[in-house]
Amino acid sequence: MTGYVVRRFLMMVPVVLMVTMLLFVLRQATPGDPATVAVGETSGLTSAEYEQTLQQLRARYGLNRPIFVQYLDWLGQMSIGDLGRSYRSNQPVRDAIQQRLPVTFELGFLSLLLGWSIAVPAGVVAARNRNKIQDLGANFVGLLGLSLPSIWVAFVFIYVFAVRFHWLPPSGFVPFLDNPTQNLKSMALPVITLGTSGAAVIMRFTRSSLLEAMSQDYMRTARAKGLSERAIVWRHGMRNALIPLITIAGLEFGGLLGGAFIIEEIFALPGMGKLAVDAIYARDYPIVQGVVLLTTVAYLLANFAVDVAYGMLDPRIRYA
Amino acid sequence: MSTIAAAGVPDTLVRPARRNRFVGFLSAFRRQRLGIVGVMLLSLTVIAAIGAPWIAPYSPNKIDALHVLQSPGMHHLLGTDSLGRDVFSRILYGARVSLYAGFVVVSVSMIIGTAIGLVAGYAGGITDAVLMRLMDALLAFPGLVFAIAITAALGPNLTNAMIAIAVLSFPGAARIARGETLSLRERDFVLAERVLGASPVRILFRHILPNALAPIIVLGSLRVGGAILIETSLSFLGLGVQPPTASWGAMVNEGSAFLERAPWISMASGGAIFLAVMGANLLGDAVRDILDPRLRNA
Repeated sequence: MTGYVVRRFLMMVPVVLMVTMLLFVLRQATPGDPATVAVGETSGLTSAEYEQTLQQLRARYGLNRPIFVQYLDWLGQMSIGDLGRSYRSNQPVRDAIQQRLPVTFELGFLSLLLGWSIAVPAGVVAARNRNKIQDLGANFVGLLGLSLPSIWVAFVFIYVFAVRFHWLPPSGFVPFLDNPTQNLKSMALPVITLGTSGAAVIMRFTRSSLLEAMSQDYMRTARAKGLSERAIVWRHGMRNALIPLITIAGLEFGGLLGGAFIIEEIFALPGMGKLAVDAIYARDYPIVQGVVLLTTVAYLLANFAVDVAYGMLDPRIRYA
Repeated sequence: MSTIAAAGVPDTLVRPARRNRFVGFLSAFRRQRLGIVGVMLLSLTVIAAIGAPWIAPYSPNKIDALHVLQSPGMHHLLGTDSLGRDVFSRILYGARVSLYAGFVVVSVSMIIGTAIGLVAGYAGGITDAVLMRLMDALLAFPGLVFAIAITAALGPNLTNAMIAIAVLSFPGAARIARGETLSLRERDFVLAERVLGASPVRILFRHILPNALAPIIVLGSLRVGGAILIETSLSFLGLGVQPPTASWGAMVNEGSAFLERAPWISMASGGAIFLAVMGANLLGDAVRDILDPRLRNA
């Protein structure tokens, strides 16, 4: 098992290096290097003076060095957690993200919880009643869920629950420690929107992988032994159906991270996604880069965890 | 081909037949009832996009300060927005952007991805390793976050939004094309062709590509709905099409400020996204069921 984990971890290294290179290329592509941004603040220069100041600043920031050296330098900074400073507020990007992280974490955690606790039972019911009304219903709802744009669902919810009936606040955020009830109320619509958006895929996968497991020979054995239906489905069926389901968990986590950008923007939740979107409007690229780097690393680690769990659950994978 | 087989050539040396594939596909498609619903929904979108100049009762960008936020009715089928522009007309024109992202961009990225995959799979060695690690890296980003990062870095406009959608789509095609190439490369009919002295280009395009096409078409058709969703999300955030050009995502955003007084702006444009994406998903499922029944449960 340890060997497998180590091997899997080492496999991640080239991918992480490529990912950081791509992020660095994106950073290079952003209009205006730090030198231009800095000069932009000092007005009243002749064009010759402007050029000269620019050159001096480039030298100071090390922007005149070979691109590969700049990359290694940048990588070194990033890897020790120095994400630079915001162009706008001069606040370290790391601090800005840390302040916003709890909101995104709460949103993500509750959405995952909601999504999975709807999707898995629904998928099991659909699979056990294959081609019956429950199955068709679940398939239909799954199809809707796959096609509904969350930007639309969010506003339908806001319109119904906030504008029409005033049951829940349309947007805004109250920290949990300030007022737990208000916090959960302000989180309700975002969590429902984000949680259900991933549920469709999970439900479809639960259904298909449980059906796959139920068609195996050992299920006939379990039935022949006279096990209860409950034991057959959960102990033999679900346990084997879990393996493909865990892969989906990793992919869905990526969808959740992207969805959080949109959902936080719509519901004015002061999380990491909103931080990044606001930074894009303000052309505050260090913030954007920091958030993208962090979410990408989180996604990579989630998929690494998925692969490790995979190996733990299914010994065949470890020796492949 | 049957004459060759009759001459005693073993079956494995004969490339799988592909005549009348399209006719076979159409007759199989007729049995996919949900797929037909999907085609109908998409046809509506295509008609809206192409026929917009003739169908639209108003110019999509005509500002009418006297008729701002009018509710749906006789004069304005779906009401007007905060600048007095006709929502129905704007939705018709907005179909163009979404369809462009869904079909043109996805098709182009399938072609790019296939080319990369064919080269990687056929060349092998270091070319294969480098290209595939790059594809892995592109796939290692969470999709929408990466799209947002690309448009933020390159600048928010339609072209860059389309580039972002393409970047999310082509690595998957490259992986599939590579996998198919690796297995087809070793087949006897390719070996026979090589013995006859065919060039690698001929082998790739005449023999490997046609037989690797089915899973790539399946992937492409399954990606259309997602591509439309990403386009609308980017436009919603103001990172895609720039105003005043009509796009569904941007319209949902514009309407969100008037949810109380004029909910129809966001609701109608969001509904348009939903119908188009559902059409694309139904069509994608049907294409998959026909071309790649192994994946039916996936």
